[in-house]
Amino acid sequence: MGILLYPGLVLNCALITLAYGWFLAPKLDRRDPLAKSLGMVAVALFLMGIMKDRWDTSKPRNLHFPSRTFTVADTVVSTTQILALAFALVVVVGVNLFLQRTSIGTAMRAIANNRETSALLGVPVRRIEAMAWFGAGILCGCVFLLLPSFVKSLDQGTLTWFVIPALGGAIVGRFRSLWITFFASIVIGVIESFLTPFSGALQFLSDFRRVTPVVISVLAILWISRRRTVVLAGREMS
Amino acid sequence: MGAIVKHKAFEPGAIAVIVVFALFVAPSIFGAFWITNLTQMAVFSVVAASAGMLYGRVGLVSLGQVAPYGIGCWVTMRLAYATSLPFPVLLLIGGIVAAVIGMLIGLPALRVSGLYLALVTLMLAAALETVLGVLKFPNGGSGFSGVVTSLSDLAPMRRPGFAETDPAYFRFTVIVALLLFLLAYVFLAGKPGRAWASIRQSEPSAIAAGIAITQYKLIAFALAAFMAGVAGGLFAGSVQQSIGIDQFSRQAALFLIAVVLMGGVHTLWGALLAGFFSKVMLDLLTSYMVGGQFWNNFSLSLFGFGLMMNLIQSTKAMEKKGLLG
Amino acid sequence: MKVEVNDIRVQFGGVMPLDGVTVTFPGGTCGLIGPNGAGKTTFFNVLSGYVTPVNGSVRCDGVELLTMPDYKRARWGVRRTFQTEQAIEGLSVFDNVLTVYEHTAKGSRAEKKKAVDEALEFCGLLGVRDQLVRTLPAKERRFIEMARAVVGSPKVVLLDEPAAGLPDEETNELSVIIRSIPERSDATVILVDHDMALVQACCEWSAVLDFGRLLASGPTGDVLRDPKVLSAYLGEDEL
Ligand SMILES: Nc1ncnc2c1ncn2[C@@H]1O[C@H](COP(=O)(O)OP(=O)(O)OP(=O)(O)O)[C@@H](O)[C@H]1O
Ligand SMILES: [Mg+2]
Repeated sequence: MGILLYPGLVLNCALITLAYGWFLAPKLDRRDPLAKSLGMVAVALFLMGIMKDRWDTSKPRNLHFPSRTFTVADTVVSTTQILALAFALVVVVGVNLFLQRTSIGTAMRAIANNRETSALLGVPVRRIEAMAWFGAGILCGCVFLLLPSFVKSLDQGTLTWFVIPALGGAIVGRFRSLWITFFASIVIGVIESFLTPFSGALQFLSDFRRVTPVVISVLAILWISRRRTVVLAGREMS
Repeated sequence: MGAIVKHKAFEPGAIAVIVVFALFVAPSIFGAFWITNLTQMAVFSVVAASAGMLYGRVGLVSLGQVAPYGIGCWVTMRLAYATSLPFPVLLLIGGIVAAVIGMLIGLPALRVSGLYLALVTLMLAAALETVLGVLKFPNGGSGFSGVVTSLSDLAPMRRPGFAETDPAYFRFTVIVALLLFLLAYVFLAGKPGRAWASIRQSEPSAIAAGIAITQYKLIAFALAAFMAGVAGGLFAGSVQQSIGIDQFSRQAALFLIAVVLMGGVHTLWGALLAGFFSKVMLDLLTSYMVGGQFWNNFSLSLFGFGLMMNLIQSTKAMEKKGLLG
Repeated sequence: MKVEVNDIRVQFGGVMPLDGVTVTFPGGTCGLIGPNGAGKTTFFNVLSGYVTPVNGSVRCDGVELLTMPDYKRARWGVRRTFQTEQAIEGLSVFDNVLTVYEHTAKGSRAEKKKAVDEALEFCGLLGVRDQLVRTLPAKERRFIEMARAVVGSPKVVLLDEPAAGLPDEETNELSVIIRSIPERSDATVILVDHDMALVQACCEWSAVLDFGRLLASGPTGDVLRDPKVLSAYLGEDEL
């Protein structure tokens, strides 16, 4: 324990995604994105079952990242908050650079673009995909070192909820632009916290604040799909 | 018209046997515990059928079918406390409200497809979960939400006068479920069913056939939401009080799609199987198998495993048919 | 019925699959030919409404087609077959054709049945009327698409390589059917195919596309002898 706790947690998370990416994901690799994401739903259900058995809900759990607070212009800020923002920025810049500049990153983009062709051109598809899973696991692991500091207690309900705002950001970014995803997520978070203090007649704003990511992503979808497209033989017509 | 009728799923003989068993044999051989279980299995199979119909027949993957289920449940309960309308009318209103909201939800969802549709419907289900979580399920109080302020007002939700007891309510549930399946069948065997088959296979070719795609997708969403909404009302009558949000949460949404896929989306049996998996199987395991509580706790893991197996199986089947690359 | 196409321009990013096509199809069965990638399918997609051109108009019978919503064009009378055949696998042959009829025409149950059976007979499909399409071979599926395109009263029938992959004998059967569409329902047929024998057998009049431009149009025999057309098909060197 002790000093190895944090890297251990991150590695644990990455090993789970790597195991999925290496053993299970290839079995679905020729299916559409929807079937692939249902594969992840399967994993989520599997892990949730284990959580339900292992985590006694009567004992609240938490994991606080060491943190200090200070006051800037009447607002209390914690180092963890600053760290989280900085981490997000570093990830966006870092991942973008990685995808643009490194050969593995280029291979990932090629696979995302056209898997079959990449395989034909000699890209080691399976290995690169496993790396992507591993990387995603590392990022997730890091996020979940910071995130618990912002919630009261860790339980299934709280944890699975994070999927919703995360998807909100990703949908606005159309699973393509990390920068748009970043800004959308920030906007979602800021709106939610602005809605929190309402009370009295406007109490409902506070009550329903968690709907924010849904509203934002629905608006984004309406905007993105304002012109209908027809897909003909795999090609999008506009 | 021929194709669907000839489909094994609708063999009238087998259906008749099941119905006779459910209506006349089951209530006399099972005790209260299993009757309640079977009632909920019937309810859940309607929800599963609605989700399966959207996926298997129209090609729309909705992860949000728990939303109309929850809306139907809420509306039926609220009206049951507030009015003296007959129970079947309450179910109908619950279904219609769910259908209308389902269509409103469907509107943004219809402009996207595949993965985006699944994600948007999941998010909308989460939004509804938040709303229902704030409103809470009615339990006999007054006001819009009907939640009691003092415990003395607490009252169980009423059932139809002719189906007060558990076995009678079970029979009632089976009959309503049967009517809903029949309704779906009428749609599937008619003009909408043919239009859906076209849309599912190829939207361009559906357009070339003059099919108004948006309109027919909306009809599908409305029908599915209606079925789930009525099922929600039936569920309210089966539990009668202290309904929690768990039944309609995003976790329930993921669970639903898992059992629907495991059961199979193309047939009525699939829906029944999904109902069995989710309501009866676990209790069978906890009651009669070694391990007891273990099964209950790990149920989600079991279904996760089942979903994965199902996906791998269907991939193999598609490869065999040469549908994949 | 004439189909007047005026200055159609389509752009996909940097590609211009149709670059100012102006042509009038005089009616009857017309051919539309051109090398691979000439823009023939794209032209059909413009008529069906899957592709919105940046410019141009298509008028038939005094009606502007391009401003109509896509599915309403089918109701008005535009029908088509697809380069990769699209018969609905989950439905019976009868239901396949019925689906098109019930969305493009009104009528009683008996009228529907009569119209669909007529179309099936026209395409020689009565023998497999109640079979599931999934169980049928490629040949039948091509003919089902044909029946879907002619059922009821189409005004413009677009056939995108209907004979692709069919052996000679069946191509001949198909050519008989194609030739008799105009008299059956007074529709204008536009036939795209790489099989010149089929085009010659079916069409008195033809237009040629190359790189998104109209290369020639006129009586099929003249068009096929046109040196410009020859060089488009054979490559520049041959001239
Ligand atoms: N959706 C699209 N996006 C980008 N380019 C396209 C799209 N559809 C067609 N094209 C391009 O437009 C050009 C014309 O294609 P089209 O399919 O119309 O040719 P065609 O004449 O039907 O050829 P073929 O005889 O091979 O069927 C081609 O270069 C093709 O690559
Ligand atoms: Mg073509």
